Amino acid sequence: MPFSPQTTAFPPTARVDSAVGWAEIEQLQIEMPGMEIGTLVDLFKEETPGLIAQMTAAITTGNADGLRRAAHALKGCCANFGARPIEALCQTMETAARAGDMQGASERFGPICEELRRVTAALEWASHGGKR
Amino acid sequence: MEPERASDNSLDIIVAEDDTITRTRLVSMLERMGHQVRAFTNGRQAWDEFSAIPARVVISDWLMPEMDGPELCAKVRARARTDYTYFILVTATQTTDADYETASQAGTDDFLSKPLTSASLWRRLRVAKRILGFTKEIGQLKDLIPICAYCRQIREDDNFWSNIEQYIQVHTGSRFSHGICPQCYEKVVRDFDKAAQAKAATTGSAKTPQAAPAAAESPVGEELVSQASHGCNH
Repeated sequence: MPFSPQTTAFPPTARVDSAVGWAEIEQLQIEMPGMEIGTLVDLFKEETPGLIAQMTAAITTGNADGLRRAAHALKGCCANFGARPIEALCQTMETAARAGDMQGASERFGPICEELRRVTAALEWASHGGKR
Repeated sequence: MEPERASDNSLDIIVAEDDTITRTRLVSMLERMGHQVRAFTNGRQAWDEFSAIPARVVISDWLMPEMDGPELCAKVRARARTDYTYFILVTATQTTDADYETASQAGTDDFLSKPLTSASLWRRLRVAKRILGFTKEIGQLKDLIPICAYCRQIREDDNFWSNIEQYIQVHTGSRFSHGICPQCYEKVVRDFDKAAQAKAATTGSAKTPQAAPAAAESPVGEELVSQASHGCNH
C-alpha cells in the first residue's frame, strides 16, 4: 500500500503527542505571524509522500546515495516541527546509507513510515488549533 | 529579539534550500527583518542567479540536489570582479569535523544550525553586515584611488582633497614616521650644493661651498639633513 500521510487522530493520543516538539511549533507560530501553521502542515503533507517514494525507489534499486539524500531531506523537513523520534530514525538511515549499508538503512524504512504517520497526525491536530 | 526593519539595513540575500518548509520559513523571517530575498530550491538555480546578479549574502543549505552548499560557495568565491559575499551554510545535526573542514575550505564564512530561529539568523546577519562593511572599506582602499598627478593629493568621496598620509591614516589607522631615503638624501645634498655654488658665484666667493652650511641656511633643509644623518623619526 502506498504511503499516505492522511492518517489522523483527533484529539491526538498520548502515542501521537510525543511525535513532534510543541515548543518548536509554538516558536514557528511566533516567528511567522502572517502564516497559518496549517499552511506549513499542508506543505509538509505535500512534500513527505515524495520523499517516501524516493526512499522506496532507492531501496528497490539499491541506490545508497539516493537513500541517504531522501533520509536527509525528510530529517530536515521534520526538524522544523521538532519531530525528534523521526529525525533520529532518518539519521540512522542516512548514516547507514552513507556507509553503504543498504541492509541497515532499509530496515529503518518501516519505522520511518510508521513514525511519519504519527507526526502527520500530530501536525493535523496542531493545524486545527490543537496544543499539547 | 527585535528584528531589524530599517531599509538602510536591508541586505540583498540569495537563499538556496531544497526543503520547502525550511525555505518558506527562512524567507518569511528574512523579509520580516526587512531584507530583499531571492530564494531557490537548489544550488544550481542559486548559482545561475548569483552569476547573473550577485548578492551580498548567500544562505545555503548543505545537502541539495544538483549542486550542494560547499560547491555553490566555491563558485561564488571564484566569480571574478565580485564584491565580497558573506556565505552562511545551514547545517543539520551530525555535521562532522570533516564536513566543517570541507565547507571552510570552500570559503564558508559562518554556519547556522537547523532548525533555524529568527534570533540566530539575526545574529549571523549582524556579523555579516559588520564584515561586509569592512570589506567595503578595504575595497575603497584597494580600488582605483583618484590622485592628483602633480601634488599627489587624493580626492575623497565628498570631493575634499587630502594628502596621501592623511588619507591612509584616516582609512587604515596607520601612522607615519618621517625620515629620508638614501636616494632623496643624495638629491637634497646635491641641490644644496648647487644652490650654494650659485650663491657663491653671485657673491664672488672663492671658497668651495659645503653642504652643511648651505643646508643650515634653510630651516627645511636643515631639518631634513639632520633627520637623515641621525636616522631621526618624528
